Amino acid sequence: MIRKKILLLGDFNVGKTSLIRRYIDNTFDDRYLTTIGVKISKKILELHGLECELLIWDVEGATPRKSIASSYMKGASGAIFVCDVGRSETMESLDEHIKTFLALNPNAHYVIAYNKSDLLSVQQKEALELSGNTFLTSAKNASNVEILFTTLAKEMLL
Amino acid sequence: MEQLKQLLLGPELEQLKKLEAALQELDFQSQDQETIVRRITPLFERILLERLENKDAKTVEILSQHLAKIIAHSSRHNLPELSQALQSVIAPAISKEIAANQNVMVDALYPIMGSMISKYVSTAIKEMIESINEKIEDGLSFEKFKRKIKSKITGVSETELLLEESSDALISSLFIIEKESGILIAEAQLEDKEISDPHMVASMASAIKDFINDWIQNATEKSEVQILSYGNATLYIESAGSVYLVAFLDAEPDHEQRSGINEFFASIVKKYASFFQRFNGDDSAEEIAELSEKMHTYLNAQPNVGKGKKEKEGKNPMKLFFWSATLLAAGYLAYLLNGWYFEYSLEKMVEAKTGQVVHVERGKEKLTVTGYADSFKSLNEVEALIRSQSRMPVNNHLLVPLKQIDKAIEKYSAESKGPAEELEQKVRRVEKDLNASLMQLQTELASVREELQRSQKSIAEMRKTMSGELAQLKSEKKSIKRIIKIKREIASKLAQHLGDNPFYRKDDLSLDFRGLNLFTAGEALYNREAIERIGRVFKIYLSVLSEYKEYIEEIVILGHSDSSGKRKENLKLSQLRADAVKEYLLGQAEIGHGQADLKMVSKGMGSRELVRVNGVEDKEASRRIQIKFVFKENEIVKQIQKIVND
Repeated sequence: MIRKKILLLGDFNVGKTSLIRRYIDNTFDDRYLTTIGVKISKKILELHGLECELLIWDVEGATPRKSIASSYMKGASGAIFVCDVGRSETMESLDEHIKTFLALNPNAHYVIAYNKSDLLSVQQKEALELSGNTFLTSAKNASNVEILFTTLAKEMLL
Repeated sequence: MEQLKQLLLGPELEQLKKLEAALQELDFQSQDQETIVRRITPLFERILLERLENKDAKTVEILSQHLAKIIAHSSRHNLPELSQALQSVIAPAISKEIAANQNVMVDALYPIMGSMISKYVSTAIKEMIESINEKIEDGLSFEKFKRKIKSKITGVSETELLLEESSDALISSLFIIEKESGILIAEAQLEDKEISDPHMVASMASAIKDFINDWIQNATEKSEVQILSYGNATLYIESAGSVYLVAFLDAEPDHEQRSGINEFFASIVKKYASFFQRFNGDDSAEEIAELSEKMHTYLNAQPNVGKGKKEKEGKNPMKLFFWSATLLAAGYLAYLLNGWYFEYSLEKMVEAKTGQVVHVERGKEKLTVTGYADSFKSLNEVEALIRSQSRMPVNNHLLVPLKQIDKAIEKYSAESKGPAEELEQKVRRVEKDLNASLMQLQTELASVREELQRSQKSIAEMRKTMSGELAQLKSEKKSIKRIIKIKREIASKLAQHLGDNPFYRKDDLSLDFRGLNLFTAGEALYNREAIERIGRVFKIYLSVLSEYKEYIEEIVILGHSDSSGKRKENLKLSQLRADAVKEYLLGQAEIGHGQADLKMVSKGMGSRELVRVNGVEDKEASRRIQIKFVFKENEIVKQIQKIVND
């Protein structure tokens, strides 16, 4: 079995923990979730006969007063950058998160989650221009959560 | 004359003499080597420096030839000075290398440094033991005398006995973890003390370690957390380069135990340093199994492993053994005596009732009868008699004289000749049938195998075709996405420029000039005013499309007729109408110039697409012109739609 460390990064309260809970437990807790420090979960998946275990580090969201600890980021093979489609400032700070992450892990892969898409209308969704590694996700209705993680796993392993 | 000369040239002659003297001095200096060296030496350094700075090839070549010799010479004759000189160069270079490749350097140095530190710690402990010994000498107690006697007998020092009494903490698990990712590389755990999810624990331990290190680290000193304790559980952490070791103990380890763990860890790092560097998370590597085995051996070699268990099991073992052995021996004796009596009584009974003298032996599961019987009848009688006395199976090994056997065989052969032949024939038939079935099965198996091979081949071919088609589909999907995006952009721009225009159709992005009375019935001549209006609208339409000309295959002008007249004639008429409008539009200077890169075609549609109002044809509206554009990759879209529909 191959094990890989992946990170969930993004601003505070963009729904990182909810995405993991949806992916791992397939449940969603509607309460306001606050991430403290780092929470580690794992998920075993099979890709084309290759068994893989993702060790998912849910890192505390960055705030204007506090940045993410770089030691948590080191040694990661991949990352999921999460932003809240309802908060434009979280989308704008994605580039900075990606830059910091890639500076520490130049060979790592990443995908982007435009989370809380359940709050958008169909027209708003269509108006968003998404590149190949970006997904409109919703932890609330499980939209694109599975494919988000699987795409990253494929990028890292295949 | 001389006086006159003196009077006229006196000063000049004096100067000439001085000049002559100076020249003589210079000539002397240029031939004196000492003077030359003294003069040039201050300039030599400057010249050499300049040449080195300019990387003068000749100078570098000369110096490189002599550099090794100079260093060798200096190391023999003036080592301290040479060391001092090189130190200023080498020390920054090493610092730079360590900063750049820290983990690699530490992996290389740890085995050496680790054992050095271990030796240092061992020496410190030895000194401490000696100091404790001195103090013990002064103490007075019963335990002290007891220990003293034990020490004299065994030859082990009292301090070591003291330390042994307090015993090491038990290491229940050992983890080797990749430092940056926190991924567990190898682990070993004691039986009954396993951690249920070692990979999660390794990651969490790594996160906690990172958190504490980040929290307490300062700029001047770089140290790492080594002990984490909670209740009786202790994590001892030792780092080296790209990996670190975590030992899970039931108490905090003392210096000696730490030293032991570090030595073991150093031996691991030394052997597997290159493997650790290339570790990619795959736990199927041979090195991991080998490493885990080593760690297991280390854990199980601890003196206190299984101690409690052994002590529990060891309570009064001799006593228990003695009683067990005694009971077993008594039981066996009773069994033997009982057996002997049974055999004796049976033999006597057989002799009394049949007159045959036989020997009976009782085994574990059966009775064996040996000896001689007069005849087969007697043999059967003896066996029946013994069976009546015991439930055990009987092995009848009684012997009958040869003469009796011959008689019995003759009798049996006479009785069983017929059925035997019949049986043999039956057996042969069955054998034949079996062989035939076997052959058939083999043939069927071969055909199944062939079928399987054919299926595998066709599956492989299908897979190949499918993957090709999949790749094609993917590339076409990209094209469609691009077309859709461009189409959206064009739609948006056309809506911006022609949104309010009554001739613009948002649904198919076309221009439909119905209700303009462009043509009278049966004619291809257009109305001047109407065509000029078409020209103005088309100009705007074309200006938008020109921006996307690389994506557009052609602009199509469609001519339509009403339903009057014959279909063939209507088709011809509509073509003439389309041609006329195309000619007009091309004749417009601005349009003609603007569509230079866009192909414009005309097409007669006849009366196929009539305009109806409430189910009744509006003939005037039917006689119209439509203008559309076609994407370059429209064909791909059609193909994809076909594949999807199929």
